[in-house]
Amino acid sequence: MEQQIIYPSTSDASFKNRSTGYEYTMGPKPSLPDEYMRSPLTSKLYSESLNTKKHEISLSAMTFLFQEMISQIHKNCQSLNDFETKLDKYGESIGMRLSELLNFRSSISPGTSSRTSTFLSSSPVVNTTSTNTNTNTNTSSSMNSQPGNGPNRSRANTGTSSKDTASSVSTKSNRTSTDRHIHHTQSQQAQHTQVESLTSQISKMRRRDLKIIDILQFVHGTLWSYLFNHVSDDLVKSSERNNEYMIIDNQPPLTQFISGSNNRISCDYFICGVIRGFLTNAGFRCKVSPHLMPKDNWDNRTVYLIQFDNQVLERETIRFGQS
Amino acid sequence: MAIETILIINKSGGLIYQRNFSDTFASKLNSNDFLIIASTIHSVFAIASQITPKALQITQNNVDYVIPYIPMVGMESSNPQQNRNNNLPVKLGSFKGPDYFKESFVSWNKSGLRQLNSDQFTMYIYQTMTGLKFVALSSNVLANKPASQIGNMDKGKAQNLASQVADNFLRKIYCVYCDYVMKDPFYSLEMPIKSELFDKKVKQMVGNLS
Repeated sequence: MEQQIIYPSTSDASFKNRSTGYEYTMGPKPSLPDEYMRSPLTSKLYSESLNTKKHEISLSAMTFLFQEMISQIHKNCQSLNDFETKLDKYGESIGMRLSELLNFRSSISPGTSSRTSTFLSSSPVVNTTSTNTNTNTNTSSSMNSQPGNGPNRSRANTGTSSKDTASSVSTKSNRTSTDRHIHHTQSQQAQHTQVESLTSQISKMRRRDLKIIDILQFVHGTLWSYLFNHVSDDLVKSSERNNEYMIIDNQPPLTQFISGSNNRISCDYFICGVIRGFLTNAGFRCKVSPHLMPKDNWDNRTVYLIQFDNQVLERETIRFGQS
Repeated sequence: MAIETILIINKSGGLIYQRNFSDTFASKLNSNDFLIIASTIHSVFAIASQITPKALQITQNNVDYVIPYIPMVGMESSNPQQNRNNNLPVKLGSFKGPDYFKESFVSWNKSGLRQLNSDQFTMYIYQTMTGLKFVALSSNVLANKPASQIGNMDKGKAQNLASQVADNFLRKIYCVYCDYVMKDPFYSLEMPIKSELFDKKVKQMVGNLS
């Protein structure tokens, strides 16, 4: 069995524990041979499944971060226009990523979502034990020194009596060692089946929305619940202009602590950027701007006005006819 | 407890927020007077922390600084049944639940001034860990009240309770401050607070109290 040098991008606890760190009784350890044993990735960020459960983060932490971002941009900007464009750019890069991610996530068939938690939790402990048993069989097989008759016969010629190569396990294997070896591959297979990828849960990728209404519904529902844990409060088509749509949020959570309605509305350009990035990446070029429209009890009620480019409308009429 | 005025004094003794909630004080004092009051309170506070009796300092460990939690002080609905009828979840900014906090807390104001009684008013000071002071001037004068109004409790106990209520209340103002002042990107630290959202929330809380 070959040593698996490139590990899948996992960072299970067992991977981390393998590197014991500096041992003061032994002094500095030669790090090279041990290097490949260690997982190169310690951050959980890379190993996490794309379809993790809902992460809730503290609103306080988020608003502090947002506040710092805004004051940073505010410091470096000369004009209000400049400020809003920059904030919009920040949001855009998020929206672009989200359009891929959310489309991917909604492709996963709903019944299998519970299994995703086990995706990377399978322990690759098998690997360590495998090296141990390898050496064991090595010694035992060299003691017996019988020519192998098992299914590995073909490989017997290649490894010539060298005790220390990994392949020698299979060369001089007697009955028991081959049994072990088979057992080995089985466990290896078991491990592989455990680490199944997310793609196995997707029978069919969700098709990207092509109609304006569909993509806006996606923004109104899926994007909003991803960002704010609830669908947006309303989705309205403008009666005056054909290319204008409005997404309404009664209480934007991110900007709720900012005083001064003009200041607050400027900060809402961030969410506008997210929407714009999302739609643009999905092929709907548009402009998005926030407007404050208090109504009833909602003083912060914000309307995100989406103005699609003419080409989007033209495409829509060509593709789907007058709708 | 009717709150007349709320002051917030920053750690260097400057007045950063002042609001009157009734006319009795506002008519007599201008903003300059309040600035002077703020820095005076700050210095007296500092002096008081220096002249804390030695005996008290030595036996510091025995003094109980834990302020008990008094439910729903200054909240929208002190009456839980009313809340059930509304059935609307109370939105408290970044705070979850019906109240800003739900447990007793340790006062950070360990050596300075906590309460000042006079014939005209009572002053309560809540100090935060960072040295920010929240001051409430209340028109209620416990000392003058006849025993029948206070009930069975003796004066000391009533004063203690009033101080605990005030501490609870001012801590909630502090929570509001954390949300609407500290999370405002356009606020510069240690400067006067001009947030109208903060103003609104404080006014609402004071209104709920009385």
